[in-house]
Parts: sequence; structure tokens; C-alpha cells
Amino acid sequence: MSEAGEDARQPVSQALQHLANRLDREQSLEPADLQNVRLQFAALQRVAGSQAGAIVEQVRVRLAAAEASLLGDPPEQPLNALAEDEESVRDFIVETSDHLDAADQELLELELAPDNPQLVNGLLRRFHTIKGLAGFLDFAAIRELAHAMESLLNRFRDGQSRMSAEAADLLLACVDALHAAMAQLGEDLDAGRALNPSTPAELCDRVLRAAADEVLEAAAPADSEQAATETVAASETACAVRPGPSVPTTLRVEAGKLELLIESAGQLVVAQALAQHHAGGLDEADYPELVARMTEVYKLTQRIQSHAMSMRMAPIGKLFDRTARTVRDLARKLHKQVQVETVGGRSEIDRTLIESLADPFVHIVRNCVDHGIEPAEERDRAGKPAVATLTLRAAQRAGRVQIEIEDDGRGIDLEKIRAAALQRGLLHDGDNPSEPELLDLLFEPGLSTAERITDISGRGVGLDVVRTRIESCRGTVRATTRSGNGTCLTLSLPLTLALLDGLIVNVAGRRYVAPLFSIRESIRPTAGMLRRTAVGAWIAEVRGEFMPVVRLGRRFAIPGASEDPRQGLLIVSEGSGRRFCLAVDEILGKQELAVKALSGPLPRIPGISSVALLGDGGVGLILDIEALYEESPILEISSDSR
Amino acid sequence: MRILIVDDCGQTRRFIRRIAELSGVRIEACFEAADGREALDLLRAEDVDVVLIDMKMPVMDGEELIKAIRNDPALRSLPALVVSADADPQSVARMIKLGAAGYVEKPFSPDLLGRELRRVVSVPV
Repeated sequence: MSEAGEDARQPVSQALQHLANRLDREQSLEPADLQNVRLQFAALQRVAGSQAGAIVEQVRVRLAAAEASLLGDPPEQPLNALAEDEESVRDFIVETSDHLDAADQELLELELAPDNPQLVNGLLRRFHTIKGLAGFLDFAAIRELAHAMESLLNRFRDGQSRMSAEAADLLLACVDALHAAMAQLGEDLDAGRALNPSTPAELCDRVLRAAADEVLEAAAPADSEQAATETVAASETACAVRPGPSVPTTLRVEAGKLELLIESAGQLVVAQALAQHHAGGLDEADYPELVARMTEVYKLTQRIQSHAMSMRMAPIGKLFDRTARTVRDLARKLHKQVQVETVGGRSEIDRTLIESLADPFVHIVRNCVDHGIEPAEERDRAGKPAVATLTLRAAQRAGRVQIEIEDDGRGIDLEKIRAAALQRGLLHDGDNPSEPELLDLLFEPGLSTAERITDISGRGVGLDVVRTRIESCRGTVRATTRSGNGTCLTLSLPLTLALLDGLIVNVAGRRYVAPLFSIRESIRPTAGMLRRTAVGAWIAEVRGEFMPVVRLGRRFAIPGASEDPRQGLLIVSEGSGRRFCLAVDEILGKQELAVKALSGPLPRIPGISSVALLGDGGVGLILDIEALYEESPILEISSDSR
Repeated sequence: MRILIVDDCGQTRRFIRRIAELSGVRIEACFEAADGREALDLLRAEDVDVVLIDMKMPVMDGEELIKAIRNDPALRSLPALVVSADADPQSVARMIKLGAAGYVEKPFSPDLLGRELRRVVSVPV
């Protein structure tokens, strides 16, 4: 402090004098003010130097008197002025949740690259901010936990300790606890309950102990050499993948309002199409102005529709981040080393799809980590790197998004699938399925090739559930494998559930929409293609394959519908890996349609998933292909007779 | 009173602004800056009565900002209130030595902020 000099000490004396005057002037100070004075005094004392001795003493005496006069006063009321303001609390939840999402990812990166100071500093700032904000709202539990995390991270920054797997477990558990507290706050706000978010006190204690305990890191010295080499490799990838700091200008809008806007945009498209339809007969030469305006309206409508749709979209990277966390936790539990690489996380996909994909993703990566990826010794024997790689890749192709989940594990043993399928009657002696057909059997209920059953996966449920979920999102899933070198699951999904490419068909004057993704082909039946079974069901033979026939007219009991499928068209459809034919009168066209879910007073109709607004303003029912197959009583008979 | 809040966290700035509005002090204008550099640019363009400064900020932190204010003849007499969540007496002392008019520890109540605001604008630096 010697560099302070005379001129620097002068303001110190002034400030001390000011404190003394203030203590004199104000007879009874509020506890918060007193604390403030105490802090300033403590600070000033350190730099006061010998010349200010007298004034230091004066302040000390007055401060003691002020403190004495406060004794017996009730403790200060909590400063919950902001906590009573709903908007402030909601802002806090959003802000904190954003920090937590980012922190989750950064902690995983830090575990791989424990010596990256930027990561440590970034995390420090996040928890410092959370602590500060929680303080203003008087959410003590959140503030204390964030403060404890900050203390532990400070040790990393100062080089007194280093991020370890144990520390990562602890800090990630804290992030989870804070996430839970945010959810609780949100629920309490919605329900109008008193706000008192809590976090497990035991967790906070553990973090504080870790921050005080220097031996936390030394827990696993045995593999430090390996850890060191791993770190070098990992930090390179971490740096390569990490995007630069970006400050997107975002506006938070209530989801309901957005849905309304998107719905209106969809209706606008239909209204515009209707107007266009009616104006179709006008001659451009007679109404040049009108036709020009109509064209402009058309362009604007298309633009509004596409912008409205883009608002529903979110980068698939959000799902990848969540999955990376799942992989990390699973790998820890199974004592395997797995690094996650992501490619194409910026591809955008419907928000609701991201939600629907979360569970299937967990199933898939569980399978990868539990069964696909070998223990380190086995990898070593096979000459593979000890750290396995799980790659998550997304790319947009032809209006759909293709997602790949690939591991570099042992691959799938096709012979085991064949044996399991034979045992469960999914295959019969003499069947000679191709490799893709065998791999498709993986998604059949009850088929599991796992040799042992663990608590992670392998109870024979999983992949069939994955396929059901993906198909309910109008997606497909298939597996490819290279023996000894890994497995890849490829998911193909629509970019949005709000639009649908549909085939519009006519059945006795009523229009239905068959989703194009579940249609293989349409056929005009030739003589002998259709046969009637003894129980009255129809069977079609298409290029040597026998398929049950669902007559839509009969299925929906449409009056006047033709009973004979030979007079109409057959649409070869596929759902849950099974093929069957839909018999319809004719195909009216192919169109991109805006989908509206069936809701409100409308009952759920078996075999119908939702409705679509057609180009002429009419409505078409969208067929639920899988349900048509599953729920058709005729098919049960026909599949028995197969 | 015309105040400037300097903090790198936007949400914190909004919270401080709301607290200032609840403090009983009439806030005629409230400016915000995310770091010291932005704050200096703003101070040179706008008329401000008091500046509230966070210590930890990127680009130009609180300490550098106070130094810059004291070294600028046009800003020399502007009262600066240090606002921080870390009551490290040494840094508080350093800030006061540099010429900060006061220190408030985050979080603070509207009452406390109101009293500190009134106090620092009435005391010549």
C-alpha cells in the first residue's frame, strides 16, 4: 500500500470523516445502513495509514455506539421488493435457465479440458450472475448454492485444484438442482403460491467441502498419465467445436401467441388460395391491376407462412447437448470412456419434434453406451482408442432432417439377431433375410440381443418403443452396422409437424389425406392381383408379396362406398414395418397441407390423426396409417390366415 | 436524478433499475452500459448525476472505469457508487482510494439504495 502516497490518503481521511459525521448525524441507522458503514469502515481502515489514526478511532467509537443502540431491534426484513414483482421473477427464471443450459455444456467441456481458463472464467461469471440475481430476489438457497459453486470454480481458476470427474459429478448435480428450483419457482408462480425455492442443503455442503478440501482431486492418481493424454486430445476438439461468443437478439414471446400467429398464417395461405381460385377465370388483360396485386399477395402470403414456420424451429443442437450429458452420466456409471462429437447442431427442426425426440434419443444412446461400446480392455485388444466416440450428426436433406447416432463400438452381431428372431418366431427356418431386413428386426417388440440384462438397457424394450415414437412424428429409423467397427442409427424426420406432404384420395365422394411418407406406391389392380379369403377379407399380391387390404369405404362405413376393391386403386402403405394396401376410389392429387390437430369437442376418430385444410377451403381427414392397420378387425383375420 | 448503471449482466441492470425506481428517489433518466468503455462513451454524451458501477466486467472493469472518470476533467466530479456482490474489503478500499463515493453490497434494498443515492449526490467528491 506504500504506492498509495499522500494524495491517495487524502480521500481516505475525507471518507472516514464523512462516516464519522454520518454516524453523528443519524441517530438510529437501519441495520442495512450500519452494515454498509461497517464495510466501508473495514475497507478504509486497511488503507488509512498512521496519519488517519485519530479519525479511525472516532469512527470506531461511534460505530460501536450505533451497533449497541441497534441491539434488541428486530432483524431486518427480507428485501423482497423484487420477489413480489412477478415479471422480475419470470425474468430471473428465464435468465437463470439460459445460464444453466450453457453451464451444463461448459462443465462437460471443462471435464475434458480441465486446464482451459476461458471455460472456468465463463462458468464463474454465470454462477456469479445467478448468485447476484438470486440475492436481489432473496432466494437464499439458490444464492448459497451458486456461491458454493463459485468458490469451487475459483479454486480451479487459481490453480489450487483441478476439474475432475468427481468435481464434474458434483457441479452437474448442482446445475440439476438449480434447474429443479427454476421449475419449482415457475410452478409456484403459476399456482400463485408463496415463492421459496429450495436446493438440497446437503449438496451445498458437499460443494463447500470440496472447495475447502484439497485432496478431492487426488482421489484417482493411478490413471493421471492417461488422463493427461486424453486431455490434450479432448481440449483440441473442444476448442474446435466451440462456437465463438454470439449475442443473438432475441425476444421472448408467449408460446400461445406464437401458435395463434402460425395458425393464422396457415389460414391466410388457404384464404389466399381460395381467392386465387376464384380469380382464376379473370383475364389479365381486363384486370391488369387486380392480377398484379393478387400475385403480390401470393408472394407475401408465402413469405409470412415461411417466417411463421421458422418461429417454430429450434436448432437441433439443443437436443445434442442434452444427449451429451446423458452419455457422460451413463459412461461414468458403466466405467467406460466416451466422448461425444456433434456435427450440424445448427440444423433447425420443429420445437415439438425436439421434445418428442428426447426420450428416443435416451433409449438409443443407452443402447450404444451399454451394448455397442466395449469396455476399455476389449477396445485395447481390438487396437481401438480407449476413449470411444459417439457422433451425433444432423443434416437437412430434401425437406427432411436426417439425424445419425453413430458409435465406434463392436457393432451388431447379425447372427445373434437371426437366432433371437427365430426363437421368437419373427423368422422361420428357411427364411433368408438380407442384412437391412435383419437389422430392421431390431425394432420389433421383444427382440433383444443383449447377452446380459443390466439396469441401463437390455430388457427387450427400447428400440421398438423408439420406432413407435419416431413414426408418430412421421419419421423413419434404420440401423447399419460394421462388425467390430460400430453401429449407426439413421433417423429421418420432417422439419415440421405443421406441414404435411399428402396424397389426397377420394372414397365415395369424401376426401382423405394419406401422408406421403408412409406410402410406397399406388397401383391399379390387375386381374388376379386381388383375392378374397374364405372369411371375406381381401388379400393383394404385389410382386410376389402378399398384403392385407383395408377398404377405406368399409373401414369408415361410408354410405355408398364400393365393396369391391378391384374397381379402384390400391395404395401400398407401410407402418410399424408392416405393409398393407389401402383401397380407394381415386387419387385427386398431391399437396403440401397445413395440419390442424383434432381437439376440443371433436371425438378422436380411430384411424384419423388430424385434419388438413385443402386448397379449395374444404377439409380433408388425415389418415393415421398405423392405426388403420392395428385397429382394423378384418386384418386380424387376414393376418392369421397368412 | 439521472443515473447510469454499469453492469455486464442485462438482467442485473434491470433489477437495479427497478430497485432504483422503488427507492423513493425520482429517477428522471436511467442509462445502462455493459462495460466501462460503453459507460465512458455514454457519460461523454449524456448528462448524468451518479454512476453505479459493478466491479467485475469484461473489456474495461469497474476499477479502470473509476480511474478513467477521475482522469477526465469533464467527469472528475461525477459521484460513483460501487455496486458488487463480493464484499472483499481490499477491493472496496482500493475503489474508495481511487475516488469512489461509496459502496453498496449486492443485493440491496430499495431503501438502502435510495439513501446512498441521495447521500452521494449531495457530497462533493
